[in-house]
Amino acid sequence: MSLLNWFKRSSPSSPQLNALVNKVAVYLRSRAADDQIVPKIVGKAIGETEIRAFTALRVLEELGIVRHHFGLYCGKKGIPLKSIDDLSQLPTEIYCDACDEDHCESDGEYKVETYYTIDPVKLAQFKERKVAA
Amino acid sequence: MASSIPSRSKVAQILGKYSIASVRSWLRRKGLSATMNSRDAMTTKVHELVEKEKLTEDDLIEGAIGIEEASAKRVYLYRISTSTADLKKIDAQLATLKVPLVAARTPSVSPTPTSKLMYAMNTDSAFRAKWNEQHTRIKVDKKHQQFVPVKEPKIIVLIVDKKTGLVQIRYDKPADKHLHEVNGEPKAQAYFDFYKEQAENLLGLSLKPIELRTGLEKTLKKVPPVVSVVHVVDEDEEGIQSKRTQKKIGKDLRDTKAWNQMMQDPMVRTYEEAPLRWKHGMTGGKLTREVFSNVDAANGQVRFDAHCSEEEIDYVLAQLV
Repeated sequence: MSLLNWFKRSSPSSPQLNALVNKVAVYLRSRAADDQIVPKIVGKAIGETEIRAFTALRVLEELGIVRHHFGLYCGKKGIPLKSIDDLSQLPTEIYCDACDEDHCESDGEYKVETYYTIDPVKLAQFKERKVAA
Repeated sequence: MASSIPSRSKVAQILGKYSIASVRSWLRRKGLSATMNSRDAMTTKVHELVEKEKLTEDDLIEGAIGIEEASAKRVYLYRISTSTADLKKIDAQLATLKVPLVAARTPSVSPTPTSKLMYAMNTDSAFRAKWNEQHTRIKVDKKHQQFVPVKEPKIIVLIVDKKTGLVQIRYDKPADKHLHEVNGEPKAQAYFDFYKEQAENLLGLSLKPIELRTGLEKTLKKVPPVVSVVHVVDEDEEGIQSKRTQKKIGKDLRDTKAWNQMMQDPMVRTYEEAPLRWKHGMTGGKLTREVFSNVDAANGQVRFDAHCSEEEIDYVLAQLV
């Protein structure tokens, strides 16, 4: 069971989840519209764990407020190599010009991390979710 | 001079050993269509262009020389004195060594594990020489669990600008096995050192390495920016070496609070390494596309990718020295 489902099942009204989503939405409003949002940074900013921030971002994605992407990064230098929207597009090898090497996915030579982009219009329309019964 | 239309096999013979990326870039620079996804498609495409008389055999040979002397090179930079007396030493040394001089560049032919001088050209304004040798890359065949040796030609070019005193030695990436060994093991540094020594022997002058840290710092701090940067290695006077990387895709490392704070910090700091993407819009037409170079100032090396041409390398190096 995913944490999102656990949240949803843990309480029919999901006040905890709603509070979490509201906190993340407040944080997103403090960011520039073109920013790339990383769950671990969101978690740190709102005093929650990375996985809880992730969960809230997934709820906001269902509302169309954010959209997920997968960043591919050089395993040695952390340099961004490529961005994809679907894990089925993961390349088996990707060239890193800073290292002058092909980095292989199966050997862990490149890393994949999720980040989100914001739809500023939808974020502006977001109404705070109910937290108390 | 070649006159007849070269056959498909001749096209493959002339261009077949170069990377698809480098041939594609060469065709684009000539304003020709460059869609190709395999070596076979590359040969077919170029042969079609030859048949349509958009390219001649001489164009192919000139293109091949351009690719092998500029594509995917590691460049080390040096200076020599430009005094008349020192420049005359070059002529005298070449005469003493009885080096055969040519009037035009020639392509690399028949590389062997031992280094061979392909040509040497000496004019009032420049000296240029090219060597080749053969290395072996060990390819891993995971399917059959085997190591497969692949022979690769390596090209090394020495370029001396007698007006500015700037000396470039351009190297192909060394492979796994070659004859430049230290304690019986092939070493990249031994390969680089070998050709520096060869260059000094040919010129009869010692080569003084150029410090790249200053040029890298100047380039990174130029306003408006002339390069895009996502990764910089720097070292400060307290001994802290920092690797700063902008992980946000499409963003520049310098458009951040952290970079601005570093710029205001009075601490003495050196810039050791950075991959740079040169913005062609900032070059007054000297570059027609974004050019990649990796500046490794700590090792005095600038690396270019497979797409690079002679003019692009010269432009970038001129900005760094």
